[in-house]
Amino acid sequence: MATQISPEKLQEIVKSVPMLSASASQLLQIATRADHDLIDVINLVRTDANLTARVLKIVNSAAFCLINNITSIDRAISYLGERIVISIAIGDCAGKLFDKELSGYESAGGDLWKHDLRTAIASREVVTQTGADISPELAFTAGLLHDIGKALISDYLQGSATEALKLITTEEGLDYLDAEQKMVGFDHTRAGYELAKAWNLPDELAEVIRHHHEPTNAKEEYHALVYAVHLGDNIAMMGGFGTGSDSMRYKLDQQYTDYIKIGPNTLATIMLNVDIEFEKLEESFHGSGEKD
Amino acid sequence: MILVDPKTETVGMAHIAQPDSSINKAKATEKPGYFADSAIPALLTQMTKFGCDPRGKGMVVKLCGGANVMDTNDIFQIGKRNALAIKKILCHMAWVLFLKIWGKTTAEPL
Repeated sequence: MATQISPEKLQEIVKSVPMLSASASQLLQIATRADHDLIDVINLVRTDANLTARVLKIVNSAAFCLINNITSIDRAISYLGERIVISIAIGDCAGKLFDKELSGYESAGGDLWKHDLRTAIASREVVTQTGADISPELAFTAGLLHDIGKALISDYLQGSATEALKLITTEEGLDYLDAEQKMVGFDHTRAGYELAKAWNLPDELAEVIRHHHEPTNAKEEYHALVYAVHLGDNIAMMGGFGTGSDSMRYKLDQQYTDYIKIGPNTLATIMLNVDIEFEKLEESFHGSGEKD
Repeated sequence: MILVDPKTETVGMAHIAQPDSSINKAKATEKPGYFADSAIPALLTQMTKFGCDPRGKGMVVKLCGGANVMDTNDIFQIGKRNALAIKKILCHMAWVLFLKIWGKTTAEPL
């Protein structure tokens, strides 16, 4: 059965999560600066030997099919792009959180990372395919982090999936957020938001985490970004990559049409691109890492 | 979509993700199972190798999945569009369908 979490307990859980590395934290700060350049990312990665090594290993992995190995970090980052470098940095320090088995959602280890990666790709695709006025790289990063709260509350939701689904199907107008609130006292967006504060994440990323299911409640200046991730999240679930019992159990906020113009054909293209890009990235992060 | 041929005891399955291959023909050639319109002929071709009728005579079709996002406008109803595409193609091929219509908003394992 699910266990209620008191506000004090939530703070305790948040404190038990490892902090982001200095590099990951600074990369996220850079990513949200409107005037930043790839050179800022390169300069930062250069100061971190471990991250440099990981970036080089991934760019030279079989997934990217390079004919000649890339040995300079500048070229590696130019090739991969800011979003992949940030994913590597986050994966390195918070990988355990993303790979956690979400037993409270009846979801296997690694499912959260896959869902987040697909949401990241989809959020970026939503921006690029619809021409929305948002940084595509930032949409990717925001998508990657949006569901981090699930890893925090999952253990406490254990055994609650059947009851949660019963609640949603019997009571009109309820979705999985309501079920989480009932089961443990608050939902995964609130838990994620507390972690975002502890990690000192930039405001727009914290807002995405807090409001990705109800973008209309986000601060107005971040609406477009939060809506992009909202759609990205739904597209990831529609593609069969949710996180278990809660998949497709959330409402779609219809106000998205004020920020993002999307028709059935654009959606079809986005979904296809997500499948193609995901296969490539998944292999680079979790593949052998070595070329034949 | 699952095709069952009781006569030869052959079962074929395609995990259809989208209704229409016109958005990317190259992908349809590489992975025909991805789109409804390329999946059905590809699956039938494969099944003829096991002695099944090329037009699917005597086969039973089962559809699973097709979940939709909780959306009141039609754009995000991809499950519904996939189901419709499959049914249209099968009807064109003169298949008589006895299907249970689905379209819930749930994702369930097969």
